[in-house]
Amino acid sequence: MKMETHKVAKLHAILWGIFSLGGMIAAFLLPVMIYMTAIAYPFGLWPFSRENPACPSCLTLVRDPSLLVTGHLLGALFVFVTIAGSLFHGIFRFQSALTEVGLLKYRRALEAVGYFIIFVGIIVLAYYLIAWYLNGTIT
Amino acid sequence: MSQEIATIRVTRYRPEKDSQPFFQEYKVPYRHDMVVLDALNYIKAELDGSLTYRWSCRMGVCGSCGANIDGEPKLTCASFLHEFKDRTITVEPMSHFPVIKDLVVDMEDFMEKLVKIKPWIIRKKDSLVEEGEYRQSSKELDRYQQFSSCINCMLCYAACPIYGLNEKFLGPAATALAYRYIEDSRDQGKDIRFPIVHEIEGVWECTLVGECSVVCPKGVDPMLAIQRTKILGATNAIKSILMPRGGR
Ligand code: SF4
Ligand code: FES
Repeated sequence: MKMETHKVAKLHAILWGIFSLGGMIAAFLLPVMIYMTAIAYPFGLWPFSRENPACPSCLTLVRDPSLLVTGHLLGALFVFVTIAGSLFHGIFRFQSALTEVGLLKYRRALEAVGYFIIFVGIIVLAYYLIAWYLNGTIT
Repeated sequence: MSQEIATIRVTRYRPEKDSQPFFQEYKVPYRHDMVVLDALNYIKAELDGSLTYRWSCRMGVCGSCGANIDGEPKLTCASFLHEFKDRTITVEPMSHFPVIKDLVVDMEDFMEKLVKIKPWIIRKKDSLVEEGEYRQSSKELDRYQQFSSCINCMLCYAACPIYGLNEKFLGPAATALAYRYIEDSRDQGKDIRFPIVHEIEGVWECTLVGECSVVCPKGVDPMLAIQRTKILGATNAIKSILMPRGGR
């Protein structure tokens, strides 16, 4: 009798897991980030202002959205998870869309380009966040 | 009073005679309670005995009468003529399957996929009849019941663009059926079925278009079965890395 052999796509399963987690993260956290950086920051609604202990009635306005990450590990993590998750989800989904429109035969090439963009994007993002977190500035 | 007429355009294709399919138009006396299958039966009985199509139960149970009706995969026995504007209807064979003749498509690929996922209860060791039935609670039944309503009509395959691009894709109905057994508390065949559904051309080809669930005439949600099977695959893959001995 012929033995059945099946090759479980383990790596693809893991990448899909990250993709779906990325989608959930994007759905929950991206609106929060957009609110903070595109609405709260320009309109001065969210603590980009600090209290001056010497003068409790004075507020020092610090107009710099990098305050979100500077010196705050949780802030840096929040930005990293939100952007990296959304990036991964977006590129993976884009590849699916290309497959749907019939570019299946270019899949290997598309996958290579997709993962290249994801990983370069994530490395650049990590570099900027670490620089911000440690120095408060980017050199 | 003059008799109302419906116009039925049907794909004709006789591979031994025709180089490619063409449309033939028939005028059929219309009644309000008529379905597309009635119109086809009228054509065959009264106008053109050579028209070829599949049907059996005429009540949405056997799953044999699927066709593309005005471009959408539907059961001809469950599609009333009065649902279509001007009573002019185009009936074509289901997309993505090779045509044998007129509306009859080759089901071979689908049949192979159905058998591949082993649509029966697998037990590690069969119990003796005297030991009684394999019992199941209603909660356990709820976990898979909708997926057992499939009538193998293949409309979901005709609606799936990914199957149209890659016929190796296991596809909606076969995955829904595999998931039906994976979720059945009496079944012990996960180790056998997981490698089949978790191949790259098992569930991973699916890009979540979702048309399979839209066209299903029995309310089965193959897209849900595929998504849940993917979650099982991703969980197992991560477990096998974190717990190489314990995880699968
Ligand atoms: S899942 Fe629905 S559409 Fe697909 S074969 Fe079964 S009954 Fe037909
Ligand atoms: S004839 Fe049986 S489902 Fe239509």
